[in-house]
Amino acid sequence: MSVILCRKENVSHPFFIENLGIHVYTSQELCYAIYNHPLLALDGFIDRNLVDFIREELDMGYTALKMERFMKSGENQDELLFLFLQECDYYTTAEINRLRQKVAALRKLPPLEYAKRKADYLVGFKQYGRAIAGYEKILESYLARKADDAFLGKVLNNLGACYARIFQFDKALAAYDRAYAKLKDVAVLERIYHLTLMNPKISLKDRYQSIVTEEMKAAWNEDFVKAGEDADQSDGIRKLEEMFGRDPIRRMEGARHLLEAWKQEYRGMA
Amino acid sequence: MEKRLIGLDICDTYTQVCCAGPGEVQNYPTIVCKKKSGDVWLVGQEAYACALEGDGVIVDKLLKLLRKDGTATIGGVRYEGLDLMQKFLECVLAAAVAEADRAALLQKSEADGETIQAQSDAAGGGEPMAEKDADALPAAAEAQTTDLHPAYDSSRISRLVITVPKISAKLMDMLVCCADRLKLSRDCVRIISHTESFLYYVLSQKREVWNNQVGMFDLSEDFLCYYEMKVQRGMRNVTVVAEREKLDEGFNLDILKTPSGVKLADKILCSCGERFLKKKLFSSVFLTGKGFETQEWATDFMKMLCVRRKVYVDQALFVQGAAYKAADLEREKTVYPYILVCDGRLDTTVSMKVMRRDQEEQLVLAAAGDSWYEAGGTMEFILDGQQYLEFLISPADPKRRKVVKLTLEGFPERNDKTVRIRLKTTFLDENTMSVEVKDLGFGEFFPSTGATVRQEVML
Repeated sequence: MSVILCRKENVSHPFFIENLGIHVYTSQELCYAIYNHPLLALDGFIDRNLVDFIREELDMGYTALKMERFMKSGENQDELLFLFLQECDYYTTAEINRLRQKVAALRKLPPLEYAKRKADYLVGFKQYGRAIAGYEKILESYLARKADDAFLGKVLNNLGACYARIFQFDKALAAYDRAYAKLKDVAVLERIYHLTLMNPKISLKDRYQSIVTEEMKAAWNEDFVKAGEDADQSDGIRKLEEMFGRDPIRRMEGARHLLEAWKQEYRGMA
Repeated sequence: MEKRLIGLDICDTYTQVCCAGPGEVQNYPTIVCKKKSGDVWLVGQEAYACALEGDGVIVDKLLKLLRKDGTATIGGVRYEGLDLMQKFLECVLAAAVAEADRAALLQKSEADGETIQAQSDAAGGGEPMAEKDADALPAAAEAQTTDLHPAYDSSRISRLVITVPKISAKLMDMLVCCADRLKLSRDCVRIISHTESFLYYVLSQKREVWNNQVGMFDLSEDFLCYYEMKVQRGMRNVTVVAEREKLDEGFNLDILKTPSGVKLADKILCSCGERFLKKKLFSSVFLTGKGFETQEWATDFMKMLCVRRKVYVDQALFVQGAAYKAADLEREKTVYPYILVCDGRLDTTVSMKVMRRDQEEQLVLAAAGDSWYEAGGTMEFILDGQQYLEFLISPADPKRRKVVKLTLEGFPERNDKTVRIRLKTTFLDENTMSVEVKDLGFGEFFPSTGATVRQEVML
């Protein structure tokens, strides 16, 4: 239990962390992002733009210089993260050592598993476009030929989910088809069925008709309806209704902000 | 034109002003007079003369007027205390600058005269022309600078130190506001107490004057005050502490007009002198104030004082102290490397425990010797698993040291170092610190809840 004194930082242009879809305004926020999302902070996260931000906006010229020299040295670039964390004095040495162990454990993962974890992590931040690229890369990798069906099935399933979230139902269906071929899991069929409900142009393929019984369809329909009802009661919808209950000027102002937020979110997704 | 360093002593009855360097101390009653014809403002004897002739209206006790948000109506126009003080100071400061210019010019012309004389002597005797020029110079200097109403010009003032009998936040605010109106930048203006002026004055004397304790009696028309200064030599630094006590024994100077009154006044001072000076080692004692313009009436008191110590009388002690400080502010490195504790300055250090490079350390928010009016500030912190702040209050007496805990009610409870707060400290007087803590959120990760806690901490 303690208190940490923050250094004075007059950031006029915040740094945008694309993977998280978040702007950072202080060195503490940057440290927090690195410490809590190491998967996203590895592999080229620290680049020239970030070093410029550290030098010019955070006014940490000496640290930026050290980082630049380290980047040119050709040594393990993960060390750059620890160097920055140490200079900021936000995390203790013990905490930085814990992160060091975490990063080492991640680096020991098989390459495909590491890549899948990274893509999964992006899904958590609604970065579907980047996640899709990650999953596709795994599938195209020569290592994927040696991977087992269970692993590839999971990757395909997650890929389908990502396409569905950005309303590309045809591609989602294709991914789920391939996932089912690998996993033979009814849960994947359920997702395919839900796709048909969301997009009437898509229909359940003949080969699945014999597997999917009427009882199953009824149960999945029920789940779909319930999900719709839950969505109606969600915070987002409630806020939207609240907004439309306001006077026209405030409504338009709110609508403008919301639309802007949706646009930002969609850009992040795609 | 040379910029001036000015000391200004403002009291309810009198005001003194002087510049560091050449020039005399100028004394004015704290009054201002507005001429009935036109927007002309007068101070000093001119003001009295104008009022006596019925050409103007006088307003007195300007400091009190300022302190109490008073107003005065002159010629159907309502003036606030601030307006009147501004007019008064414009006149006084302009006169001070003019006096300093005059004195500097005289000094220069005298020096030039000597040089010319020396050159002419070397040339083999007195040259009538040279002597004539030399004689003419001081007269020219007088003619150039003798202006009854010099215009006020803020650009001629590089530092202004105002000293007042007692510091209060209200008075400080008003004087700072007045300085703003006088177009003086805040960096170049300081307001100090008479106690602090006393310190600067004494510390500017030879060391033997203040080796031990120093006492001072200030006998004015309205009050009798005793000042005492002592030097505490520590391992790391020297602390100089001064205190002021307004005595109940104060008397009206009118009693000095009768022999029985003189006797009584002498007796009063003797009893005060014995009370304060007995059993203590004093290097020197100072006497100031209108009551000590002459000391013949206080025979017994003077006899008592002048035993094993030096006694000095100075009628312009506070204003000179202020001018010494003005000169010191101009220097890159102070010539008073002491911790000064007196009225207007904190006698307590306030600190907070913070983590730095994995180690706990005390972060000083305000140190003993800081001006409480200027002390304090704004800092940002991250809470690491604690929902409170602890202030360590350290007075000079270690037994009075205490910890004040401020609970941050309503603040978000996150244990991952994502509660960023802004701490704003200000001092209402030397004994009260006002604290405001606000939740700032943590960027786009966690927006601010707007939670705020305010508390006054008694030091």
